[in-house]
This record gives sequence, C-alpha cells and structure tokens, in this order.
Amino acid sequence: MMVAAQAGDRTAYRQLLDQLRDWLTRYYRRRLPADSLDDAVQDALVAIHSKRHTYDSGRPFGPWLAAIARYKWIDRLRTMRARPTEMLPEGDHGVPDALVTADAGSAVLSASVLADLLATLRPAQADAIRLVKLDGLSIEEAAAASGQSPALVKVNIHRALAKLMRLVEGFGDDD
Amino acid sequence: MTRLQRADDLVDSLVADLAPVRARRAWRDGALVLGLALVELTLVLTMSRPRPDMMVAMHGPMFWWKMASCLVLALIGGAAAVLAFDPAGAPRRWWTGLALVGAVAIAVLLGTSMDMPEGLAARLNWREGTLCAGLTLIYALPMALLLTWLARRAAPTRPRLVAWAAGLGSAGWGAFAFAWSCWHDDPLYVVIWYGGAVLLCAVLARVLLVRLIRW
Repeated sequence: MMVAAQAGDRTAYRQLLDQLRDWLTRYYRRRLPADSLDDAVQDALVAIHSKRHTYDSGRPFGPWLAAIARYKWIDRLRTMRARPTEMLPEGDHGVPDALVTADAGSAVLSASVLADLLATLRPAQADAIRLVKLDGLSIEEAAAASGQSPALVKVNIHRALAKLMRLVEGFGDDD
Repeated sequence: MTRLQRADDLVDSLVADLAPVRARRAWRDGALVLGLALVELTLVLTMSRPRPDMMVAMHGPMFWWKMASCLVLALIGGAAAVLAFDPAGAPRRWWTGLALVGAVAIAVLLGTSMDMPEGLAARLNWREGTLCAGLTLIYALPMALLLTWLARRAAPTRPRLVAWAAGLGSAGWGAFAFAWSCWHDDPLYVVIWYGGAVLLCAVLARVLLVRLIRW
C-alpha cells in the first residue's frame, strides 16, 4: 500500500492511514500518558506523510514504521521533559491524570516500566521524581519531605529526567 | 469535536494532500556524495599548488599513511552517515569501524612519532599547523553542507549518530583533499593539526547539525 501511496494512489493511502492509525494508537497507549495519546498518533501520521518518500520498497515496511513511531515517541518524551515542573492535576482515583493509562493492563505495564526506570536512578534523584512528578508536591514541599534543599530538588529532577531520557533513547539502538 | 472526528479529519487532509513522490534510495545519496567528493578533489588538484617534494614524499610510508588514514575516515564516516539517513538504518557496525580506524590511526602515528629527532616546537610548527587545520575545515565545508542537505531530505531517527558520522566523514574528506598540497608528514604534526581539525569539525557537526536535521 505504501508503494501505491508513493505513486499517488489515494484509495490505497487512505486504507494504509486507517490501519496505521490503529497500530499507532496501540503503540503509544503502552508508552505515553492518556492525554498525550491523540497528539502523538497525529504527529506520527503527519511524520509518515511528510517522510513517505524515505520508504524503500525493496525493504520491509515494519521496521521503517517502527523507527518513525519510536522517533516521534522520543520526541514527545523530550517535549514532556521540557515542560516546567508543575502540579499534576489529579483524577477521582487520587492518581495524577497524566499518568493514567486507558486500560488496567497498560497501567500495570506503565507502573512496572516506571519502577524499573526509577530503580536506575540515585536514591535522591528517584525521591525527587517520585515526590514532585508522581505525588504532585511542589518543589518546596518535596524539599521539606526529602531533606534536600529546593535547589537540589530541582537539580536532581533535571539530572534524573536527563538520565531517563538517555535510557529511553538508548533503548533498541543495537542492531 | 470528538477525538475520532479529529483523527478522521487529519486522515482526510493527508489523503487530499497526497502527491506522487520519488522514493529515496541510499545509493542515489551515495552517488551524490561521491560526485561532490570527486569534483572537489579535481578542483583542489588542478587549482592549488601541489607540495614541491611530492615525488620524494611518495616514496616514504608516512605520506601514504596520512593519505590512507584520511581517506578511510572519509569513506567510513560518509557511508555511516548515508546509511543512518534511513529511518530503519543500522549504522552501528559502521560506527564501530570508524572508532577502530581512528584508534589504530592515532596509535600508529603516535608510535612512529617517537623516532623523530627534532624538538617539539619545531615539529609542531604551530603557525603552519593552525593554517593546515583551518584549511582542512574549509575543505570539509562542501561535504558537510551536502550531508546536511541530504539528512534534512531524509528521515534520520538517530540525529546524534548522523551528526558525528557526517562531521567525521566530511572532515576526513577535507583532510584528504588538503593533504595533497601539505608538505608536512611528521606523524605528531598530523595527529595534532589534522586530528584537531577532524575533532573540531565532528564536535561542530554534533552541536549544529543535530538541531538542523530534527524533524
């Protein structure tokens, strides 16, 4: 279908985009907070559209698609990291909305992945992330709770997010 | 507007915007890189003055070692960059090769440099050295610009890797083109000034190129 789309076949292209939309929704549901899902899928669809000429028909389509989806995922994580530290709004369940995933299975997976990632950080960095980004405390409250100075909490959050980003970007780099 | 409607609208607009495209082929990018390299080398060989002791230098091993190191660096760096333009490209093995070539080149050059009898200042000759490094960077510029343009047209999913490879590849080619008219074969001189220019070009590419090729 992508080869037909490269030649300008709109019918084939619509079928392809419909299928890709479903695939991308599943892909990002396991990797991003629920409120980022739609934007991520749409970003990826636009990227696939604008870079469709880079698909080589002599090679399999799956790795090409997966590489673009992964690239836009990292891009979105980077954007999320760049946002200023702020209180995350909580839903009825007492969990920040930004961390709620669409279904229980994904939530368990996200929590498991998150726990693994936090375990790679230094204790002070993990505490800073847990208190501010997960429990929703302010910098000052997190400083009081953890015994760190407010400046140190900020530094630890910054370093922790940078390390997590490196880990995520490094994932799957090997051939 | 619901979530589904927005997605449908996006698909509609993308389908409406569809136009035939010519699929990218890595060999076509490679041919462009090779073409520019040959044009630049031809211009350099015809327009610049060759080193006066060329015939003598060609009988010594250091001349060939210098040229071969630059050429291998250019070939591996350029090939790694072009392969990494592909979203699903697998340039890691090229990257490893590049590191090995660089390490071996520097180790051998440093090893052979121990035998030279002259003093350090005379061997480094910083006046001419900075000129050599500067000209190497200038000679690297056309290839760096071409690789940047190709990267922007493509869809590299590992921008940092592309930037390093493009920087090293274009610097390697710049050094190779310039080396024909440079009469210095002292390994220490080559390591410091050529190596410094290559390193600087790679760092500049890493800093500047990454911003330019994100998509």
